[in-house]
Parts: sequence; C-alpha cells; structure tokens
Amino acid sequence: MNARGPSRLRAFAARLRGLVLGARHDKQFDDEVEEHLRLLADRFVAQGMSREEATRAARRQFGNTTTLQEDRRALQTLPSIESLWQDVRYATQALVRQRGFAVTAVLTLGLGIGLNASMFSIINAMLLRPLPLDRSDELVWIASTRMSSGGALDKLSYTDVIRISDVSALSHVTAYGDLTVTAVARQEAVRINGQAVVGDFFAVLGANVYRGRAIGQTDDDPAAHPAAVISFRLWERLFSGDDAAIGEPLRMNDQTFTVVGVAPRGFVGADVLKKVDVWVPAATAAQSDDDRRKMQERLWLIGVGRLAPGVNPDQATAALQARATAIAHDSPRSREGFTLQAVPLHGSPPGERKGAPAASAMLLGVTIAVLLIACANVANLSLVRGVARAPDIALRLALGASRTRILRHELAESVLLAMAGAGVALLLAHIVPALLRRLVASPIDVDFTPDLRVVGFTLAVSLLTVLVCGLIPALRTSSVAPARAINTQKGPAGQRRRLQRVFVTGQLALSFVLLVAAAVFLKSLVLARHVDVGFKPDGRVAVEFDLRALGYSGERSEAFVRTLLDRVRRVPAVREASLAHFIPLGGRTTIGTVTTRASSVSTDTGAVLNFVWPRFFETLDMAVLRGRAFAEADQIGSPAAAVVNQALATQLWPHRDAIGEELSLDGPGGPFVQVVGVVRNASLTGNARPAVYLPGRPTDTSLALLAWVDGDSAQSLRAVEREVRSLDARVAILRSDTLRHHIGERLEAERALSRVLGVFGAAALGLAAIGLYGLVAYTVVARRREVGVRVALGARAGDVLRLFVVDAGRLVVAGIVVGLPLAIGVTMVLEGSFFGVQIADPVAIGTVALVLAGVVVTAAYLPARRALRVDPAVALRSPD
Amino acid sequence: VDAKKSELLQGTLDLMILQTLHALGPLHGFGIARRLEQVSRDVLRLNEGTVYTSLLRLQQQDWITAEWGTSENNRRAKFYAITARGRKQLETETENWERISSVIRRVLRLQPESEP
Repeated sequence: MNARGPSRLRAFAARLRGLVLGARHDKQFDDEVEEHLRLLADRFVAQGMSREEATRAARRQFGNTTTLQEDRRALQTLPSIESLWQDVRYATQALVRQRGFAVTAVLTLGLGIGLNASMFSIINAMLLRPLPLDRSDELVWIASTRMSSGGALDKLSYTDVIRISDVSALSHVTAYGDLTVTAVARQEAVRINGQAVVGDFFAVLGANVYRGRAIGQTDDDPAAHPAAVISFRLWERLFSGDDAAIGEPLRMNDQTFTVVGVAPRGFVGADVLKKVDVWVPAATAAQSDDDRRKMQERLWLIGVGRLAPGVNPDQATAALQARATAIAHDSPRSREGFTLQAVPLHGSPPGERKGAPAASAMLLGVTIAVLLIACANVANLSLVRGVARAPDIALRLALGASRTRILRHELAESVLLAMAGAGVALLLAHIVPALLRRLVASPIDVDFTPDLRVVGFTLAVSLLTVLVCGLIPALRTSSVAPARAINTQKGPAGQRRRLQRVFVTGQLALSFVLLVAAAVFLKSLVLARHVDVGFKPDGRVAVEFDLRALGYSGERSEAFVRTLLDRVRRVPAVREASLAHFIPLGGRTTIGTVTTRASSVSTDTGAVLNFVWPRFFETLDMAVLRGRAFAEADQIGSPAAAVVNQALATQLWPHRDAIGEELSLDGPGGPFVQVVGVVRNASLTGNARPAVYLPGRPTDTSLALLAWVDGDSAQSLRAVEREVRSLDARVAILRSDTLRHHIGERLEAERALSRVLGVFGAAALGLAAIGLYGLVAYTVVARRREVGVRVALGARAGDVLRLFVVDAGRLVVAGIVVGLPLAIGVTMVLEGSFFGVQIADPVAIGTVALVLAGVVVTAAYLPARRALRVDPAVALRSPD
Repeated sequence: VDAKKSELLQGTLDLMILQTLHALGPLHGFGIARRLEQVSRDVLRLNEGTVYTSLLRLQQQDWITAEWGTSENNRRAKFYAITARGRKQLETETENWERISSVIRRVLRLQPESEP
C-alpha cells in the first residue's frame, strides 16, 4: 500500500500541519503510547505476573518507543526542514575549516555585488524611490510634445498651464520653470538655481514649509508683493538658520523679494535631480507688460498634476489629450500636433534626462564588468575547492549519502557565502554612493541610504551569483564516480583546469578593457591641460561679481567698472586687466542669431556671444588675426563695432575679408554692427563654435574681471578682490579663481568619470589578480608530482618558477587578445560621448598591458614559489 | 533493513489495520493490537508500537480518522475509524492482494519437472 501521485500531496499537506503542531503531537503521542503500555502491563498482571515483570514484558512487546517517536516525527514533519539546521551547521563548519576560501569568496562577492548594489541604490534614489512627498503615487508629470519639436518632449506655456488646470481628471495642476539667479541677503551673495512656480506648487506636491508660509495662488497676482520661499540649505547659508529671516528682503537679480517661508530640509521640488534653492511665483518673473506677454506664451514650464481620486494615468492622459487638441485648435501653427500625457512622477521630468544616459550607461557597464569578474573568481574558487573536496565527497557517496544530500550541503554553503557576501555588499552600498558622490563632486542632494529595495536587490544578486557560480561546479564535483575519485583523486581535473583558464582569461580581458578606458580618460585630462584653447589661460585669474543687486544705475555701474579697471591695472602684480560678461570657456554663455546684411539667401547662424571691455584680447593673449581689437572709443558705441572669431568669419564670408562686413543680432531689420577684427577661435575641443564679441555693458548680467598676473595667483586674486570690495563692500563676489580652474570645471564630468573608472578598473584588476593567484596556487598543487620529478631530475628553481610564470604569461596574452577589440570598441563609444576622449592609442594600450602583465606575473610568482618547497621524496610518494 | 522489504511489511500491516477497522468499527490502538494478535494467532509477532506508525500513515492518506474519546475503563483514548476513502482503498488492495497471493500460491505449487 504505497503512497503515490496525489496521495503524496496529501501526505505533504499532513506533514506541513505536523510541522506547525509539532510539540502538541509529541505530547499526545506520548500519552497514547503510555496508555497502551499500561493496558498491556495490566493484561500481563491479570495473567499472573508481578507489576514489575509485567511492565518489562509490556515494553518488550511494544518495542523501542524512541525509534517509534523518531519514525513518527519523520512521517509527520518535513525532514528537509528538520535537517536544514543540520546542513547549515555542517556548512558553517566546512567554511570555517576552509577559512581562506571562505574569506576570499566573501570579500570577492562583497566587492563585486557591493559595487552593483551601490549603483543600484543610486539608480533607486534617483529614479525608483517614491519622492518624499505626500501621496506621491498620485503625482504625474504633464509631458507634452508638438509637431515641430519632432516628437521630442517639450515644455508648456503659462497659458497652457492655466487651460489645463480645469481638466477634471486632475485634482490639482501646478508647474515650474527653472531660473538661475544671483541672490543677495545680509551682505552675502550666491548664485543659485531657482524655480518660478505656478499656483499652489507646495500644496499640490503635498509639501509643508518648515517656517513661515508657502507661496500659492494669491502670490500669482502680478500686483502682489514678490514673495519667495527659500530652501533649508539657503536659509542656513544666508540667514544662519535664523527665524527672523521670515520677512527679510532677498534681492534676486534686480528685484527685491520678501522671504515668506523656508522649505523643509531636503525639499527640492518635483525633480529630485535638481538643486533648487528658491521658489518664486511665476508672475514675478515678468516685470513689464511686454515681459508678461512673452512669459505667457513662451514654452518654459514643466507641468505637474495630482490625479483626481480613482483616476489612473492612462485616463488622465486621455483627458489631457482632449484638452491638448482644443489648445492646438485655438493656437497658431507652432502648436500643431500638440499632445499631452500624464507620466507617473519619478526622477526627472521625461524631457530632461539628456546628459545622464552616457555616463550612467558607462557606470552600469563598469559595475556589471566588475560583477562578472567577481563571479568568475567565485566560480574558480569553487572549482579549486571542488578538487580539494572530491575525495571527501566520493567517500560520502560511497558510504551511501544521496547525491541530493551532498548537493544540499553544497547549497547550504553557497547560501551562507551569499549571505555573508551580501552583508559585505550592503556595507559597501552604505559607504560607496557617498564616496562616489564626492568623487564626481555632484551637486545633487539625494539621499542614497539603501532602503529595502536595495537590500532585496543585493540579496537577489548575491544568491543568483552564488548559485550560478558556486553550484555548477558543485554539480560537477558530485557527479564524479566514487570509485574513480577515491582511487585516483584526478577526476575531470584537466577539464576543470581548462574551464579555470577560460575564466581567468575572461577576467583579464575585462580588466584590460576597464583599465584602457580609464587610461583613455586620464589621457584626455592630461591633453586638456596642454591643449591650445586659442588663448593663454595660465597666469590669468578671474573674479565674477554682480552689481545688479546693489541697485546701481547704468551710469553708476559704468563708472564703477571704469574705476575698478583703473585700480586693478595699478596693482603691481597685474600686467593687464579687462572685463567680460562671460569667462571664455567658463561654461556660462549666451547664444545669439547672426544675420548678415547683404545676402538674398538666409545666412542666419547661431553664435556664442560675449560682451567685453577694451584690452580683453590682450589680457588673454588671444591673437587678433585681422583688423584690430576693441579700443576705448568702441565702448561709446558709435559706429558700433564687433569682433568675430575665425570660425564665424569663414562660415559667413568664406571667400572674402570679414573686416568691414556688417552683421545684426536682431534679425534682418538691424541694428547692424561693423566687423572690425577677427580673432583666433577659443575652444577646448578644436572644433570651435562661431563667436561674436561686442563692447560690454555693465548692467545686464554678472561680470567677470580678468587679470593677467605675475607670480602667485592666489595672492593676486586676493589683491583683485580687495580692489572690488574697496569700491563697494556690498558687491557680491560670486566666484574668484584662476582661469584654469574656471575652465577646468567644464571637464568636471570627464574628470569624475576617469576617477570612477580608475577605481573600478583597479578593483577589477585586483579581483582578476586574486583569481589568477587561485589558479596558479591550484595548478601548483595539482602538478606537485610533476614538479617533484623535475626537481629530482635536477631542474633548478628558476626552471620551476618559469613553468608557472610563463603559463600565466600566456593567459595575459590571451586576455589582451580578447580584450583589445572590446577596448577599442568601448573607447570608440566613449569618444562620441565625452570631451577629448580618443580611441585607445598604442601608448595607452601598451601601458595598460604592461601593468596587467606586472600584476599577473606577481600573482603567479607568489604561489609558484610554493612549488619550490615541494620535497621530491614526499611528492613522488604522494597518491597524486 | 532493506527499503523494499520494509515497504512490503508496512503495506501488509496497513492492510490488516484497515480490514480490522472495517470489520470491527472504531477502535483505539491497544484494541487494534489485540485484534491483530488474536487473528494472527500469535504468528504475526510484531513490535506493537509499529501499529502507531501505520495508523499515522493511514491518517495522512485520509483513509482513517482519529478522534479522542473515552475507553471502556473510562480513560482518554484515541479512537480510529475507517473512512469512505479507506473502504475503497481496502477493496482495491484486497483484490490486489488476492490476485498476487493466488499467483504466488500457484507458483509455489509448481513441482520441478526433472525430479523423479
């Protein structure tokens, strides 16, 4: 009467019940057995035995109660769970016995997975984690496209937002537009990012203010006094966290706002990737009626809505689309194909995710490469361990252990390793993102603390890695025929060594790729330092300051900069000084459209504009190729003069001399200015954009004072700053640094990535070295006998070492051969995405190859030395 | 003990218990053991305790049920009763048993032909 098929399920269910009811069953069973024994004994007593005799006889007839209880337990509960604890204990003991293996495996796994978990926690923090906003799952971006944007995501106008706001699928609608402002309060000035917001921005997002009140609907009235909510960070910076800040004035650009509230710590608005320090009503962004009209029609706002109860994003999209069609119908042709869409609010708004992909794809690729390397290491270690344990396992198989049982032990070990590895990984995930942030000097203020999602991810990756990397070798080990394993200890060792060599080659190839990429980035940075940018940045300093917040009139500003220039030029260390709106190649710039007068065809072209003072070109030593530089007279502006760069001259007047030609920055209607000079192109990359230089006006924007100085630039900077302050102590100095540093900021992304790549590349190489060390150490053991024979026959130490080191050398060559095409491919991709990065050149490849070879030979040499310690007499007699 | 042999023994015991419960109605473990002792006329010398393992196995297949009750001398005891499923199983197994045992009987009666 054997249990088969569905009856097995029935038994399984009963066992599950038994597992839960364990203790109660034990007691009931004991009672039942006791009663039985008593009845049996009573019967024997009735037959004439003494009580004592009867009890003994009863026990004899009943049989062993302990075995019975055990049988019952085995039947009534799940033996796999019962013996799980045993497996875990056994695995722990096994791992403690093989400490070296366990520690290496855990650290390797921890490193590989930790870097992945870190990357995941960054992605999690930026894109996956719900925002710290009230019921954030109800929030949606209102994404728009139109025909002329070619399907790319677009922004909304103020009028659009107002028209969308009564769509019933959305309970609330708000919008924001990004601004950059110079803010001045309590004698201190900072350049910060701000957002102009429409309606009840804070209320819609469900954010409370920390102090004071939020801005809302009532502040949207153009007649209202301009109010501002500042970030917690700015509150601490400008107002030292003082409660009296509420009600204080805050000058931004040339408008005075009143601080009405402080946002909660960490609040950055709807887009977590932005660093926003001030929020103002959108209505205040327009100061004149003309501005207001422009503001209402310009596409500059990003819409955010809260779904009405019970509405899903698809339904909201349908409702929004209906409204979009109506708006397109009422609007000029430019809104043709206008669509609206509700997209759940996570990370950045859909249209704003440009720049990041290349860098994040690279980081992700790098971490996956490191994980692969770590994985190969664990697989290698498992193989090595498999060999060491083959006789042990064979013995157990021979003694009747089932293969399942042995695999369960292996599995328990793997799981333990995975847990320990995950522990190390989580520790890393706790530390690395913050380090990465420091490494890339990111201004983003996101909380990277790992949450449950990260923990889950880490555990899943660990288990998967260990199962894939650890269990497959285990399966192979347990498939060894016991007799063969016990007798020869060889098993499929040759095959295994081949597999190991493949793993190590793969590791070396991946490390090679990572290191070449790092080298290429490094080289681009070195090159950037020496590249000819079209002028001489060395020995120049720049001080950015802002006069607008001081309420200077045009004339007073004019006088201010004139006096300032005079004074700075008189500072002994200063050889030459000038002013400009923008620091050349400093990152901030403005783009204009250039129109020529005499052409039937359209010759409009976009150009970088800069407004400069006399001696600008001399200060930077930017060569004037034709014509002349600006003179004092040009400052007065009649006739208006312009200096263009070579790129613009060749583009607009390819076959003519540009001097004397006229161009307009306000369309064909003029006013036109005359080109008086052509200067060299200024560029970091060699392909310069067209540029136009015009005489400077002091009021429009912040200004940069440029000086060519002798000697210590830090001292000169202080001297220049002193001059600025001595003219007016209230002047907001935004940034003062050497010109090199101002330009260098442009390369911050490249610099950061090269650092990250360097760190990851080093980690990869370290892991590969560990893997190789393991391989050579294993080979040394496996070839002990051969070495013994060689030594016995008179081989010298050098010969024996060479045996292993040359072998390792072959692996390096194989790794490089495999890695080279990959490395070239990767650098080709990088070349397209990052400034100054070139396809891997022989120097970079050669250097990396040498480093790789050096590390590998060392990793091989250390364990190979052990081969020398082999006593031929012992080795030859050993069973191997 | 060889796994197959013990399976056969278990199966036999299971079948006998089912038959006992079918014939006599609900019984406690002690009662079942006595009945088995009686019908086997002491031929089936067994560790009485194994009855309980068998009872557990039968319960897990839902062929019998167990309920706490009061024994004839007023003590708490677990009474086992056969279920409908159990009767069906008993029928099938009895048929099987009879078929197999008749085959075995016939096989055992065969006389070697070469012997005089």
